[in-house]
Amino acid sequence: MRKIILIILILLLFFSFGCSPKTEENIDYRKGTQGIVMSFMADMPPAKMYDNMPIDLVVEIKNKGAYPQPTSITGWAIIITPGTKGIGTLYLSGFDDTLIMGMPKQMSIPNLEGKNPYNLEGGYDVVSFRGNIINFDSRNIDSYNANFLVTSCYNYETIASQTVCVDPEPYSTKEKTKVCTIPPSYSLSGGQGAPVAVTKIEETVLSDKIQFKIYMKNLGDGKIVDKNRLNIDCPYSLDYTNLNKVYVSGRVSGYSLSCKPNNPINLINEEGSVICTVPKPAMSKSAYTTPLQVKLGYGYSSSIQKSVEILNTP
Amino acid sequence: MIKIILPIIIILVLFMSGCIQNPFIKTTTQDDFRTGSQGILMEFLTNAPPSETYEDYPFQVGVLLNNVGAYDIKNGFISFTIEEDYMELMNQNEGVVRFSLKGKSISLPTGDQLIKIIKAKTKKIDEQSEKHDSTILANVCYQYQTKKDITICIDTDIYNLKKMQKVCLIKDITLTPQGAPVAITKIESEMLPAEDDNLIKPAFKIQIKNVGNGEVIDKDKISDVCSSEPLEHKELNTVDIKVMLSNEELECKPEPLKLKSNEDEVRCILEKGVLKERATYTSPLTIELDYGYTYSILTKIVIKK
Repeated sequence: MRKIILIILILLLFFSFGCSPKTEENIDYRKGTQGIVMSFMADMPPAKMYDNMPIDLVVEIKNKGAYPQPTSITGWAIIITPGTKGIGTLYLSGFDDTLIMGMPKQMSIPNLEGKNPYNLEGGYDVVSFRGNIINFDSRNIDSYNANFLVTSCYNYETIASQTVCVDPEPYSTKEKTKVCTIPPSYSLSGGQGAPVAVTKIEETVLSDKIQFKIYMKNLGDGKIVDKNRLNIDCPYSLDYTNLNKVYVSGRVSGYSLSCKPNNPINLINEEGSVICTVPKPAMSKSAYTTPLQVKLGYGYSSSIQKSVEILNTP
Repeated sequence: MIKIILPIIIILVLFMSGCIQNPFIKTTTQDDFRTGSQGILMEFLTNAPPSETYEDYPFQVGVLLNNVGAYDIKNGFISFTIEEDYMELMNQNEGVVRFSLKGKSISLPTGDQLIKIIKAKTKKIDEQSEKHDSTILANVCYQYQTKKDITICIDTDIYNLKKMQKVCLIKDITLTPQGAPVAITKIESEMLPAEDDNLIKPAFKIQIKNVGNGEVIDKDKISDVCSSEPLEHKELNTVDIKVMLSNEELECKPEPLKLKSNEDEVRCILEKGVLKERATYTSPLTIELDYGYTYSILTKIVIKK
């Protein structure tokens, strides 16, 4: 009986200290619905603090999406967002800056590579905001509940690849052996390693062109921002004029997609669609499969929040 | 035995791993002592004065004062009123006694106490009477302060035009008494548009109530109330108000406040405004009410021949 209890206790101890073994999983790096993910480092800052001392707010940043990819030449994934040193910017707000002084209001998000075959976890870094809590006696304050809101604004891209069937004569009555037939739609589930995902593609063969209706949706927990307004309006001046704008481009069979409506595409209720066309191959050609690559470019913004109760030192 | 030890070990392991918070650790601040609806509590000491005494005989009158509020009294007064035809104070200067008394704090969690005793003497009663029922009145007058600081929400986007997450929402706050006889009972926040389109003006409606068992008086007239000086009507129910939003003092109207039926409200506004381009944030609102307070207790004494 004692032996059983001892084993249970040891196991409990290992679990509580996070020492249980993890199983490795195979991760398709262009899967998932997250981009840049932020979290406050544990106890940085703690939930309760005293006045007249420094305060450190440490934000862990993980790139859980698949953008950017390391270049084949340098092996580095570098994104240059105009006006920032990295992929985007973190903005700090929500607290009274006359009580917590010296805290930077914004910091660049470091260049973090996205998930790739050599790094299935994606890039990781920390950003630290440091300030000082003033002496509350000078203001006659007993306590203050500070709220720290960290908002990220960054550029991101979704790359969705789908093998499509190109059949110049889908309605032909001639009996021919075809390598593929056009389905009613191609469904893309689980995201493409980015917060905005292509969810469905419908293919229609017209008289002189092939049309792809591409459906997209915001599957992340943030907001889509017009990438051209990212450093101007994000996060303090976001409204309907600069939200939910996505720039669509793509290629199939060596042709660039020609899409309507023109970029940027406006998403309604976090989802939208665009109709893109490419010239139809010659009728003489048999049906064949080919990859359709769709690229969505956008800015993205998400927030995390933490409350800290600051007490006057007794 | 093992049934007792096992749960203890499991709880210990959980504490060590930080999975549960230790409930025994609680930080105390001065705000924790700002509870209750009284400032000074006063009562006569047992047998001082006695319930019965004889004519032409000395006796003691004693009161126990306890500052159960959260403010230190530096200059309070106790006055004793007796029926001068039947009693007299042995030291005429003891009719009004000054005192200081510390309120509740971390170092003095129950507040300080004070006993004041004066000596008096009965006079001869009427020749035809066997006894005379008389009254002794003790009156305490003191300056007091009610203080409350509360974190409030400054919403810079009053029409919700910005699509940014807000750290807080504006809401009415109902409060319990703050360890003083005059209490702040409710704070209603409002963000008003300003003439300058780039600004909003935070405004607050603060409800104030006399929740104690005495009367509010002008803080500069406490010695008059505890003496025979006449009081003007305007010196009653007067409360001085100071409201700070972070480090900015708000303009309050009316100032000073006159409590009607023991309660009233004051409207305070930050005329300077807050820039709309700022994100919504929390800020401390500090309210200080300064006033004088008075209340009386009485006891009967039978003077026998």
